[in-house]
Amino acid sequence: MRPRTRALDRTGTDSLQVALAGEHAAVYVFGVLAAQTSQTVLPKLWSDLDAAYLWHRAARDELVRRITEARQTPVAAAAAYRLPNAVDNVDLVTRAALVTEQRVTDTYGTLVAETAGGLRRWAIRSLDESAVRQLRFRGRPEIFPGTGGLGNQDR
Amino acid sequence: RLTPLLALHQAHLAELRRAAPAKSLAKAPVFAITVPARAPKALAAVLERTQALREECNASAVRAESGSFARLLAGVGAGLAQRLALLEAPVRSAG
Repeated sequence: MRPRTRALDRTGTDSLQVALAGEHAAVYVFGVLAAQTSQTVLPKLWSDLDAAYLWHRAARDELVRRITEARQTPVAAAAAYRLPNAVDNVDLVTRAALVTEQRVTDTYGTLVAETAGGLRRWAIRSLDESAVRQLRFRGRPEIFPGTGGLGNQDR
Repeated sequence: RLTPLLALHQAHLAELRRAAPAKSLAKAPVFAITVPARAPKALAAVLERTQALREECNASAVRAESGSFARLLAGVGAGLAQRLALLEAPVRSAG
């Protein structure tokens, strides 16, 4: 489900398309994960998954809007995406959520580097929110979230 | 409780010193900081300053001329955001 990376143009349009591809995947994965999780038995996890799904859906729509404004055609979603791992139990569901969120965080890090002005400001905010959301899925704090592995994991 | 935050600041400082051109580094200003005597107030003061630093990092990231440096600054801000989230509301286990 990780979007392919390729050379990015200076306007950031290509990196917007990469971010959109990532958000398409995230919307799909969080939808599956929420569907796999009982709202009654695991209300906290379900609520976190649902909130993540809604956030990524809104981010996807925002990216579509910005790409369309740039007179480009937004990349379409795939019919289905491969999950990061099996989701047979709570631990695996949580892990899949974390991996997906980490990928999105890194995608926004790239978007920060490839854009400027208001678009970069939006990318920074998205990176920030995605990084914090990782903690809800048992993510450990990092020194430099969204920088593609710069530094090691925080204590 | 604040030891990880101190380590985070030290790691950020080291990487920013490495990444920024030496001639562009300003001498660190000296602040007179009074730490409140009671722990809850002291913690609140630390959180407030960390939040201000986070916002400054994000604002600097917007202004940065270099895309890679902007990403580093945004990463610093996001690292602080994660640590603030943990200090303000410990994460409970899923479920």
